[in-house]
Amino acid sequence: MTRVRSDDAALLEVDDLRVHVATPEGELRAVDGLSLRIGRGEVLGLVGESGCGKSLAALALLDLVPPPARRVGGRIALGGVDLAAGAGRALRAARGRRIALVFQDAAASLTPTLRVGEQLVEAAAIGGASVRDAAARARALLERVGLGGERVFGAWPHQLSGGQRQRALLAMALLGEPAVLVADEPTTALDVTTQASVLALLRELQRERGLAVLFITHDLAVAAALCQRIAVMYAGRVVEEAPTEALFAGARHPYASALLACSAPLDGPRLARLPSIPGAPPRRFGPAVGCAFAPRCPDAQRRCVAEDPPWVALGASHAARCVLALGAGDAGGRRG
Amino acid sequence: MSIAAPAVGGLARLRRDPSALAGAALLAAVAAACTLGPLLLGLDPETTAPAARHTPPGAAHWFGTDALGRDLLARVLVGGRTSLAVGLAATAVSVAIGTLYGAIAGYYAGRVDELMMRIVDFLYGVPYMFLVILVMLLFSDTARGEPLPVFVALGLVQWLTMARIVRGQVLALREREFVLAARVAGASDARILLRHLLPNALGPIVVYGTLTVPGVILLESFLSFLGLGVSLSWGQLVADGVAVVNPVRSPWWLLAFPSGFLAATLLALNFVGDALRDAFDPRAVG
Repeated sequence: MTRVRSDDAALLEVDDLRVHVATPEGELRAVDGLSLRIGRGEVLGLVGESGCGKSLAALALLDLVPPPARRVGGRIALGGVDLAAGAGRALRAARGRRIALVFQDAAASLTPTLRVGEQLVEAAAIGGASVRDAAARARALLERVGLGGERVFGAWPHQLSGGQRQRALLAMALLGEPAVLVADEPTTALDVTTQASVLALLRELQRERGLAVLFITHDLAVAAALCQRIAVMYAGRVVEEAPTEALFAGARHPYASALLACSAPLDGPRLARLPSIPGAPPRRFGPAVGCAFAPRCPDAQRRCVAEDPPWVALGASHAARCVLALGAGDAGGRRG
Repeated sequence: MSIAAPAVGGLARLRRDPSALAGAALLAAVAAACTLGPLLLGLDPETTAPAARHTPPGAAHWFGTDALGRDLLARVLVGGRTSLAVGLAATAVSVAIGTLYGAIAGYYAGRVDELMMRIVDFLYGVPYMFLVILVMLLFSDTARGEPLPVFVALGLVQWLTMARIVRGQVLALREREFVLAARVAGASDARILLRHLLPNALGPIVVYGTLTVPGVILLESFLSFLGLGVSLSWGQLVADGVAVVNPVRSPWWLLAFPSGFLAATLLALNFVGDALRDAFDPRAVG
């Protein structure tokens, strides 16, 4: 098994993560063997369309998958220690302290009946700090995210703007001094200018704290601006993973290249019509073989349906899960 | 802190609400009159005066007298003590049990919720008067006519609706993202329930709680009518007043004063309840 990794000292290692959803039609394999590596101080983008399982994967990292979905398998190791073993107790203990999560909708993520300051102090106090310490740290972090002063500390969540709420949420996530920050579409609900300033803040905080960030988004442009590496997810699996430049220069998986073709280039010529991928993302039930993208793939071959596609190494840290990539590289160990 | 915080801003808003102010003032006046009035005026509700029976309101007896010549003002005020105490105490019992029960059922959901709410459904199916009588009989004969069994009995009957309301609120709130966010921060179940969920359900709890007070006061008067209540209360006085009303020469004051006090108090409670609901909801600041 050759691991397609440049850095073997990964901080967060996710192997074969599986989340199934019980539906009337059967077990839906929402996250179907997801594997990821994030190094210390690295920003990994997890990109995919709606329903590809990226948010469920994020929740699974904290053992927060809501029923009827449940985490049915996988290894989630932080610093080499598997947190997923033992019914997820270690994952719950790591919540907020070692792995923090920022949601998309900041308005819904703040408790409406608690003042912003109170919520931060509470979050800090859960980490074991005394109330005075917690308050001092909450103030310092609010200051750091650009929300200094008593006005925000004593404000109700509904009195803040969308950008302010997202900043407050970011401050809250950092209170426990986590090593890994999972950001689930943290800027999707914001307008473009606010989005840019929140992203800039996120990048600053990431650099200054050496945070490992799993940045989940459906927006390739945002991912490109922030992430060193990007993993493209389709139907619960990573189909291609590459350094950002390498992916944009030459995506090898048909889905990844189709996704790239679908996003409007900012500096390129204006397209008459934005291309789209025909068909809809599949819902995979029960044991299924073959490439999940095959039904929508323009270059699908017979063996795409007959067997699971191999995980093909294409470069130092570039790999794709596709038979078409086989000619270029050599088949590596199949991850999950 | 969480509950106190909205109330601080809320009190300022409460002061700008004329109907709430009037309601609160009226409640305070009634409560003060009931607790201090009989002492200050030197009146006794049980002193009979056969010669002065059915005296209309006047200088000697401001509210008139009843069939035994007892001073009605004294009886209304002392009866008010019982009614208010029964209303508040039984509501407190019902809010405490109902909130805790409903919150646990709603928070844990699934089978826990299923079982807990079926118990509530079952108790709903039992005629409440039967339950009340059962509880009253559990107390010894010596305690009959005392307020305590009535508090307990009414509280035990009233919590069912409160449990359903709180359960529904918590069930809806637990799906909200801020609960997930609190869990991400590492908050325990108890903390999530007490700090994040219940304060958000406070509006309905307060509103239904204030509606419970008049409901309980009325229920107590019904019990009094059956001879199971407390011996002297507004409900009892109204029942007595109704009994003597006739078209020819009616001692109208026997009905008018107790029911007037009862109605005014219930109305004031509703005003205050409405204002409290607004005050506890920080989103209502505008």
